[in-house]
Amino acid sequence: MQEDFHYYATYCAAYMAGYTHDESLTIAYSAQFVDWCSATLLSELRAPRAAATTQLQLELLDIPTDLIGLQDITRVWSSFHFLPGNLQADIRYGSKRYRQIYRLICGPNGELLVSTVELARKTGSLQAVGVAMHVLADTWAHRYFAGTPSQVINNVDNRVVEILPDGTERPMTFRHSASAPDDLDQGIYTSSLGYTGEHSIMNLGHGRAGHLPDYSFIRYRYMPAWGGYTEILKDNPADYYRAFCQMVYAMRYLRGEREAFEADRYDTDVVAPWETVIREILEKRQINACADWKAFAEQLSGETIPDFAIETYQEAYVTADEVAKSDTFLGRFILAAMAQKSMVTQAIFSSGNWLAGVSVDFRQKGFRGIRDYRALIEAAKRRRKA
Amino acid sequence: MTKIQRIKAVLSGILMLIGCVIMVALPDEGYWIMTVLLGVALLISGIRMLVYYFRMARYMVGGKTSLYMGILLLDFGAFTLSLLDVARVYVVLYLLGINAFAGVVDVLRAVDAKRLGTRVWKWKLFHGVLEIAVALAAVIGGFVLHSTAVVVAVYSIGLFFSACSQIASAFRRTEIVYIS
Repeated sequence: MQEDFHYYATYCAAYMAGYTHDESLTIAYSAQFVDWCSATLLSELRAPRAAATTQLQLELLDIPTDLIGLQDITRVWSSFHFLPGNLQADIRYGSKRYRQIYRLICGPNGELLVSTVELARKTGSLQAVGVAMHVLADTWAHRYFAGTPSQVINNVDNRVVEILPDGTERPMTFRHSASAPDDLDQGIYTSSLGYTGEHSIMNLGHGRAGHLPDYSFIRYRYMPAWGGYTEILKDNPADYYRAFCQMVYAMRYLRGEREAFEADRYDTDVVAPWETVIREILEKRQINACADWKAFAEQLSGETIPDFAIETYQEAYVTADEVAKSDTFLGRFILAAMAQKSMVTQAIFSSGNWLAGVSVDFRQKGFRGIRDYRALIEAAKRRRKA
Repeated sequence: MTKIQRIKAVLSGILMLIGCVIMVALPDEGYWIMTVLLGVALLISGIRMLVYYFRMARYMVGGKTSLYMGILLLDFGAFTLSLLDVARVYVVLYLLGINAFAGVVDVLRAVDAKRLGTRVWKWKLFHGVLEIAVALAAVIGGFVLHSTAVVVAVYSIGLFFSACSQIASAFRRTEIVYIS
């Protein structure tokens, strides 16, 4: 998913869920910031690098894909962009390594999604809500791909067929030119190179399928590497609409309007008055839907929505003293990000899967590992005192 | 390219240069050492590919390519090592054959790369054509001059070029298409 959904659509969902304009903006900004918060940026801000929620191309190019490097990549991408759908997936073939990667395939409505939303409520900040909404939305867009570099899971057969609005089918063409934009009229799309190396970063996430999962309008059939020659029909407009309704449902829970968050529940009734306009935006054939979502968001709340700007909250964080940092906008985002990464890593590790690294339960064994995570313990102490 | 990949590229380039020097300095034993190195490298690559196939790729759509590549590499490796007792001229011709084959593969990859819109196709095409040309020149030169030494010398020139291009590639800026 892109800025159009993570920023503007998330704002709309938050507003429909009952948040005020300012609260909705904070949630939307945090949701979009997940795509920008790299270790490089955190270093510039002198913030803990462990809070990185994404990795830049340049960072990925320099990470060796040995065990440590792979775990680093997996922690980031599985925690925030490709949340595993079922860590206990019943798969009886393949080596242990194959099964571990298979169980990282992203999917909606998994146990980890419930944990993500519950964690956001426990963390209690609007930034945590934004992080959770990013993760939730991506479970729909990025389903069927894993947040770890793997050829045997993330590769895609070259024969991909687009289903056009009139029902006709057209084979897609893939190219690997970084500078050329996707040509929607001709059906020519950019994808990552087909490297035969299992752990090449070209095989991370949905790179081999290009930006197809990021476009809300597109419907297509393709054959994933992992499916035993079974084709998948991907209906993005339907998935994106479900994602939107689930965000509203989740945020009503996070506002305290519901007792529990259950998977596979959608607030379609709340969204119903705007269903036609939302579906129109989702189905419009365009690479970037920011303008349409922004217009809808402004019509919805009657407020002006500023464009997303990465530097908005940086100065406040940099100039705050050490104690006050965690109460700034970015400080809260960083805590929410580390909490999410910690929770997902723990869940993956305790499922017997070491691809995201080793996780130690603080309550049982005390503090071990990266110093950055001490901030989480301090935050928990503060919450208990409050 | 990651830093590790760049270091690997430089190291393999240096190994090729050493091979080139050995071939020129010790024309009698040099080709034997090169054949052993090539054979062992092919065997290891083949075994690695087969292990990858049986552990992972056999469950993947199109994974049989790994099986075929593994068998082919293993076969080439065994065949290369079996040539150690054969007359020197045939061994060198075999090495040149492999060179020419690699050149053809490079040309085909260049055609594919051009079709897919990447910018590296010109370099690949140049490299492929040069490899084929070196092999042809060595064979023709050897037959015309009736000298195995000429064949070895031309082969060494090709090896030297490959080593230089391998080292140069480690310092090239890489354009990647990465989508998350």
